Amino acid sequence: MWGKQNAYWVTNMMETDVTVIGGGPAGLAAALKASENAQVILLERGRELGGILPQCIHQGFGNFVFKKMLTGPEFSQYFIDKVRQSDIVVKTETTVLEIDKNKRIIATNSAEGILEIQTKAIVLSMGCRERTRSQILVPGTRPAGVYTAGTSQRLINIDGIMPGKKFVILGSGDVGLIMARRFILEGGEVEGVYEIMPQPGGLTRNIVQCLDDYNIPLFLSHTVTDIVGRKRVEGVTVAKVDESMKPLVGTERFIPCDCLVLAVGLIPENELSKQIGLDMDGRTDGPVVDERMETSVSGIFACGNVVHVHDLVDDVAVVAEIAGEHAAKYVRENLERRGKIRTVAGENVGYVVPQFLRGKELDSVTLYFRVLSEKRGATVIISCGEKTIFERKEKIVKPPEMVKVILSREVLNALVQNELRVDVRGGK
Amino acid sequence: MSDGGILRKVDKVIRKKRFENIDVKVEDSVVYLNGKVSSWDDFVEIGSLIGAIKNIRGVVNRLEYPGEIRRERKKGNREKSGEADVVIIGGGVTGCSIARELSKYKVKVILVEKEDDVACGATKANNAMVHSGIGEKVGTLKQKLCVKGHFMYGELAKELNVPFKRCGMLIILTKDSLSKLKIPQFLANFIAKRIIPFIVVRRGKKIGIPIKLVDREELMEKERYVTERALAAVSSPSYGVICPYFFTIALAENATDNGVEFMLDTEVVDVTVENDGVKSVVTTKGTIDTRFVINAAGLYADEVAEMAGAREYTIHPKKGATLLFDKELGNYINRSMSLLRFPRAEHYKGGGIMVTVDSNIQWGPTIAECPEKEDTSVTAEDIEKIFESYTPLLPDFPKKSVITYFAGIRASTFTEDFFIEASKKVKGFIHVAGIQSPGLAAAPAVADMVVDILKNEGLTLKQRESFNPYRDKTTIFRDLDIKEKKRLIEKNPRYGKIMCRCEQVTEGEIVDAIHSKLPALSVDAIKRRTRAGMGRCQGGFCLPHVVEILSRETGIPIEKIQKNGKGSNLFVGKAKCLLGDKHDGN
Amino acid sequence: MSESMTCICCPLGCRIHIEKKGEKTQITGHRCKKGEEYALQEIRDPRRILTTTVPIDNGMLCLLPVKSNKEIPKNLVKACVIELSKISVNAPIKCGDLVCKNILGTEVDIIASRDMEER
Repeated sequence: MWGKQNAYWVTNMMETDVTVIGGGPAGLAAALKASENAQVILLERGRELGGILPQCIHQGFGNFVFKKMLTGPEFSQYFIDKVRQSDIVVKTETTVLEIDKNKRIIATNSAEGILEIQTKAIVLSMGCRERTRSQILVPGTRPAGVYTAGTSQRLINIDGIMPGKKFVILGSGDVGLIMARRFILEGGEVEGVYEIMPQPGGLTRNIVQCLDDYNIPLFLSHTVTDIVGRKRVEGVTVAKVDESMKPLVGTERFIPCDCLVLAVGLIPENELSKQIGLDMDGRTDGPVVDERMETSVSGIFACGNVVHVHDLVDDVAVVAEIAGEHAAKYVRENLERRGKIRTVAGENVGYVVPQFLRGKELDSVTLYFRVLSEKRGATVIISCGEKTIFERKEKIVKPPEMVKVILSREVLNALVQNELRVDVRGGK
Repeated sequence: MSDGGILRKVDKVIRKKRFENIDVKVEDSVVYLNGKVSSWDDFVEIGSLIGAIKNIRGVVNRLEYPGEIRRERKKGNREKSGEADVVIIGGGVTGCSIARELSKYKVKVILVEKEDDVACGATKANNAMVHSGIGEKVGTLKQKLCVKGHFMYGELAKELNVPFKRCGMLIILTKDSLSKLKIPQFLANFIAKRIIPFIVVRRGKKIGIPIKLVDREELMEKERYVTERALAAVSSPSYGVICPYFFTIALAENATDNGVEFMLDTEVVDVTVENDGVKSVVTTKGTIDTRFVINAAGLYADEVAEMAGAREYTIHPKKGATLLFDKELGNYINRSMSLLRFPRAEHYKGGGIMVTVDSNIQWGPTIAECPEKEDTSVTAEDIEKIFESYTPLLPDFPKKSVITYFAGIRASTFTEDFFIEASKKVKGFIHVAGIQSPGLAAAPAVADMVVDILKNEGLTLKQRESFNPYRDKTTIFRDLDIKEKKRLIEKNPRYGKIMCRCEQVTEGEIVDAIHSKLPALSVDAIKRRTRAGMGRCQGGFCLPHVVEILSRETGIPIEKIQKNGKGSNLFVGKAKCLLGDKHDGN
Repeated sequence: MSESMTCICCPLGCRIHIEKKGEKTQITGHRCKKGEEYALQEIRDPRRILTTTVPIDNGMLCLLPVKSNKEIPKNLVKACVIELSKISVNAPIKCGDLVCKNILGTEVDIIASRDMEER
């Protein structure tokens, strides 16, 4: 539906201010913000904009940005309408093949062939992909009927195909929970959801409304130890696991089913980032960014799930706007890079984003981080050297729910050392 | 040795192991075992012990054991569907190599394959190495054919336009190479450094392949991630690597071009014999009259031979599991490598770490006896074993970048060698059995040998002048430079649309595969031809697209699309099909 | 009669127990007022927003995502989905367009949750 715009381009060589790669929620929000002050091209490899949102037909988006609960399609519709009203050049079904450090982008699509875009700034917003069965080393055969949750969601909600009749779900991430309900509503059976960790991976709301509402059992500290079936899944073997997540002998149970769905985590999709040579963070699997979402290469920004996996699209939209705004700013006047402050993940903290603070223009900076283990009554402490600059008691912190701390410019300006440490202390 | 002499030796083995109720018969140096044993393990043990006796041609092991799986033979179609001079049973790399070789002559050849595509058995699930033959027992048929065959790959790959790299293989000796011997470390080091490499070089000379000494310094410089415990290495530079299924498909396509008929999804249910000679091959899709049958049925070679009354061996399946890693590690090593251990484990076959032509690193394969011919499952133990075996070579390798694993089943006979000869019982029935590793490397030489056998057996083979050895190069978008890509998309816009993002496969390539000479009609068949779905997301993103294109191009309804042939439907029906009475699909 | 449920009002996810003895209802396990209200609502009249798809003819895609404009009784969710699988709509559709009025007499409408252009 966006193909019509393509005809305006007579030559294949283009120049622009900002090129946004990926038209999901991050790319849409970044492009819109950047377009307020710059010329923007938005490249999307899918048929339509919105990324993963159009297939997330359930409700639960926008509480923070729109102050109301929207479905995925509604959330993306809002941004798509805005993009249509803007002068952003959108190219769908367009895949970026290469980017170099001089910000020359090579992309391809059917209508125009190979596109070469010389751009002044880039926003990377390629999102993430799902961890597969192999990446978590599930043993067994390789029959038809093993899908990741996101793929099954796309098949049912977009392509209109039913991938199975009787499902077993491995992993209790939100997409897995959402799909459990979806399978039931489409007439399927869900034998159970199996989670290797002792706590569920998804939000409580989803466990209640997707599993409890339909009497779908959730088995914690369980995993799939075998996939059976030569041509099509005939069943899976599940087993309890010990503290080190090793299956316990004697607890195996065979479950006949024709479909195994995996909701076992997401991985930021950073092939392009690595190809450019951006500095990466081994803990987030995303590029290292500063508070303006600028990566280690100046003028290249990144936002959304490509940086680290978010739980709420609302958070993505917020950081994407920061990325878009500063990409446009970079085109005009370059960005200040002074007094680089490193953020450090301390006690019970898996990672902190942004990894660096180095500008002065933001009124406040939000630190996003995840804890490693669930605690009730723990305290978030942010310190600089010996000095504590922020402290907050939390009712509960858990790995699936990202923790946010907003630091004011005042506080940041008063920092004397170049390391900001985040700890989550105490609790039980 | 006479049959009587063999019988005495066999009896001795059986007595020594205290097996009872076993009836032995020897005929033409083939041992036939009947009776009962108490387990599958015993079945394998006795077969292997007897198979190891010198001068035995084959072991037909008909011993029954508890839990034995008896396959029901499918009902065939006895109606005549065609005739041929030669029928090849089995579309693996062996069958397809023979088909392509025979297509050089004026003969009518039909190849029948039970799966929906060629290269569906061991051919698609081995570790892609074109061995040089250095790892084989000197004097065996497989060693000779391996050496000959592996030298033929360069030209063959060129003719067929298939990527092939003579990447070489490093056989590495470490401080642990002789650990099983329990000798003092200084002695082990000395032997590993100063004696074994020279033995390997001499062996290479003897069988006619180049072998080079590599000292520790050179090794560490060229392969910087190799373990610090390495002492020395030898390199076998003529080792190669090829994509075995891509190669096999290319062979099949070229053979098709030259007149060979491929019948896929066609299972052989009987081979009829008249006056001690082959008369016809009965399949699930009709009966083909023929005077010559080439039994390249891999795991089922013994069953096919039985149908003709020409069984001279039993296949005992051996599983091999392999791990495949992300392309981004493609430069981690420069050459394939393996760790030399002495003494070798029994029947231990090669295995190692290698880089495929597509830059994926592979670890494996394992080896284990496997009672079920179709059991290609990979167990947790297999995975653990692979890590255990190869981590000593590359201790810092980032193992979490596994993208997939698979297992293939080796079609081994108890004599553990290739069994390639004309049947002494049924005229016109040619055994090409027991093809396990190095079957890929040997395939071109096996094909040559089979042609010679056919000539000896009285088939007139006249050169066909119109034979075209060249196969057109398939379009591979990711391998082109920008200008070529540009031109390609101008000609056909479908090459501008990337469908598989991990491997950069375009819609054009998928359509090409569907309409190729050996049409790809399932998702896996498309994957093997284009690599769509072979990358790090394992088809998560491209599956819906591939399915849509396949349905559009063939008219197969989306909900009937299969992963890899009969029984592998990917979906149960359209959305809503399970609600109320609106059932469609199956 | 007794029933337990997990409260979804905040990340704490309190396990709430409800005991009904005749006219009296006793609620335990919650840590705040919100939890109590949630539990009462859940036993009196549990409701959910319904989201699903309906077939669409002549659209860019073959399915149109839809949702209920208000919460519907929980026990009618499945019935509504089956009801909706029987109807189909025609493209073009605008986000918010009415797809099914007063579904199963619930006084809740089903509306489109995105635009769908014609093919």
